Amino acid sequence: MRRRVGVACLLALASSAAAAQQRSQGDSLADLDLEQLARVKITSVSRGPENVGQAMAAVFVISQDDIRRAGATSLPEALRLAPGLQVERLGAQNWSITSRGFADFTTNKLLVLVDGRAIYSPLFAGVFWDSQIMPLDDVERIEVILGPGGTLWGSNAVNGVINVVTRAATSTTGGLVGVRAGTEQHINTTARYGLPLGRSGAIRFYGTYLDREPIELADGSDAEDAWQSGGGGFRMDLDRSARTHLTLQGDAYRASSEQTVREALPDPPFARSVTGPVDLNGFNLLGRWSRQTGEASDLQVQAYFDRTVRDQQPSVGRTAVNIGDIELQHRFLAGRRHSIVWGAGYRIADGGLDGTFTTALDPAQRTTHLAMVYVRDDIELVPARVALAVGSKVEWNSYTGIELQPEARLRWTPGSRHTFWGALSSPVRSPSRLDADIRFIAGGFPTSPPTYLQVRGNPDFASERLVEAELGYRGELSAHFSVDLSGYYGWYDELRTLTPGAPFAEDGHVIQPVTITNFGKGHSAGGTAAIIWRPAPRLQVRGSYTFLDMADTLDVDAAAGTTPNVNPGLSPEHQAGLGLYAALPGGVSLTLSGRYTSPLRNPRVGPYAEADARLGWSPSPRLTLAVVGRDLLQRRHAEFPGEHYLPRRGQLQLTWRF
Amino acid sequence: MALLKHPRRCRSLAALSLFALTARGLRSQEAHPEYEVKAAYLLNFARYAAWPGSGGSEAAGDLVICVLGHDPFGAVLDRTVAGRTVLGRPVRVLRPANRAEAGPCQLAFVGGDRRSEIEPWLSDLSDRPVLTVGDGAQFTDAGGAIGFVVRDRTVRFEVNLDALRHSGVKLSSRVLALASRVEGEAAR
Repeated sequence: MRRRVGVACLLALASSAAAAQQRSQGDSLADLDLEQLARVKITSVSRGPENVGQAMAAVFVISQDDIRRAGATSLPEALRLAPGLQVERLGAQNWSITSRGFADFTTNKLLVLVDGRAIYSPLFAGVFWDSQIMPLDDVERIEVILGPGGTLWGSNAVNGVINVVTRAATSTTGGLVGVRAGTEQHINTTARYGLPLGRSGAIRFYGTYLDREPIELADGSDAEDAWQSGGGGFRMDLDRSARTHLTLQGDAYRASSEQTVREALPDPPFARSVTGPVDLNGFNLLGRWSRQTGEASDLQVQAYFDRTVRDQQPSVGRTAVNIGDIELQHRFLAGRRHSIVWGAGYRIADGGLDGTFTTALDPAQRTTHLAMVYVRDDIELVPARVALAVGSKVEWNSYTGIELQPEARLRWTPGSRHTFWGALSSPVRSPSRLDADIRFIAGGFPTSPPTYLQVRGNPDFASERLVEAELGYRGELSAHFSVDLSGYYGWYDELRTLTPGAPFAEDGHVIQPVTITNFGKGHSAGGTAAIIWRPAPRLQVRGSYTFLDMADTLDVDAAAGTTPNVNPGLSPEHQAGLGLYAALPGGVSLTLSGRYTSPLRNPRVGPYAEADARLGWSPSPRLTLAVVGRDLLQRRHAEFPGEHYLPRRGQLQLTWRF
Repeated sequence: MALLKHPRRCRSLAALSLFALTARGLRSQEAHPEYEVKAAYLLNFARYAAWPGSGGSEAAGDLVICVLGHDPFGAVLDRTVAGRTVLGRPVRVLRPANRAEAGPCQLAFVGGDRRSEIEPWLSDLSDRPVLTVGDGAQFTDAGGAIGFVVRDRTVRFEVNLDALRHSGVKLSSRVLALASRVEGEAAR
């Protein structure tokens, strides 16, 4: 009898399931109860990934939950959670982070934004990861786009976009104290307090302090790169009316460390190691005004100022850069099928380097400009089934003038559970001060008189260009299993190369000039597969695998002597990750994760496999205690050339909310 | 036949599976346009409201949801209510241009975020049994019954109990329990 009930129920279930599946997604919201509606996330007003053509790209979102469950305490650690990113640590506080290859000490093809503020430096078009010391407790989500960011994102979105979004002050009222203490990272503390402002606003303040041990070198000695930093900031959000929002936020920080640099000399012994202090400081202030003018239409204006000062006496010198930026974005529906986004932006960067004999810029100080307009039309070709997005960005910069960056993306959704997408886009990496103005002594030779190599920036350096074709699939294969596949093939042109010139004599030396040129070209291919499996409600398994082929694919299109400035040997061919999260009874949770990186080939590093673990316990909603172990498999391992070895390490974490 | 003998257990299972399916459908889409969510809320408010004299069980006539003033929904609201019923009554959307046309309204979304846009409509409706819904905390401040607020990318709402009591419309305690804020004399 009981069994027959079961069969009948199953039949009823099957028919209701079929009925539910037949309904379109728009209707399903109306089936939800109040409690469920209160949990539904709405699309962000800003250009979140949902708005980037509803993910006609390889997009992954790292949520606050993911960050907390991993016990991540720095932005790069959190970025390890995104499938497809290559995140390698090369010192106490230094990182190399990229997507789709081109890893280097100065990776330069990524756009990284924090609440709409671009944090890549106009000096070398890369990010100083060491000075990104924001508290992760207030991060709402990190959106990661692998591959060209497309029209809507700012400049430099060639191989990927990382967009860090912090929580609105209205969702962080009250206090939070986080204390993390352990080996290697002695202490990492944050304190935050938020309070309401009137009926519909709030403001929060935070402070943070970090103290890191030096990293071990190959011979067991330490790299003398111990690190201390402190910072603070605020964010204020006001709802001026139901649809008008105002945000004002700012951060300031100061950090000190030491650095050992191997620098070239023009005279014997032609090279030496110098150790000296590194002092960093900076601040930024950003304001954003947005107004929702109807369903899927809004207007946003944003402006910020950012100052970054780096005093790296050993070998480099003191850089100070001030950036001012203003942007406008307007989104609206045109007819029933067109959703149009257009915008304009202008950025001024002023500053430079008080250099040393080894490293200098010529001119030392310079003001550069970047202006852009963009428009993109998302067209619903077949409602709820096929969508096409076409658009272009037109950028003007001080170095190369006008750059056109078009894209076309197509999405096919044969059923609510399957999405196929494809894209063809052509972004550029416009020049930085390094490309145009650098003067760098790269090495000396014991000739008579002595010769040294001087790398010289090229005022005529062109933008590096990519044309990339992408394909992807996203599917919910069952209620418990989803998969995301993406692959790409990219043609690079005008890549950075080094071309030797005619030697000349000066001050009793022979100078061999090497000019930065654009003779590199080649292709790169690869893909990322990611799965999420929820075998039980309180258990989640995530896996990812990334393949990259850019070895032997880069070429130089010039006379002999010119060498590529890209080292494909620094990008691993294979990367894999596996993570498990289990919520156990009694407020206990367990996170285990492992990662594997195939060897870097030139110079050879790795391969390595490492594992992290976190055991957390929340005796009350206000208090969380956790034990975190990082890189547990080996006593020490290296991730990048430079002989910096990361130790196995442990940490106790306490988070108290009030 | 077994189905009939154990209807209760079966129904709860079916409800559970339906939720699992809708939840999955939603997850695959992740985020929704704000006014799609708000339209679904309007339907839910209607489900949990009782109008004076109706006794809550009157099956005659349509349930009329009105959009007054600025219309942020476009076709979304019409799509949401299409084919839906509340306590057996078909739901209909009206967009009256003035007070006279607003006669049949039972639930009214008042668009606009300036008090000068909202208040004339609220005073027009103040002597009628209409459940007023609008955007923002200032909507309830201005004398509206329910104001949507967006918090942490979710849509929540606040309730002004004085305005609700004045209208004569009764809201289930279930709605009040979910309000992110309940204000008015009656709440103290």
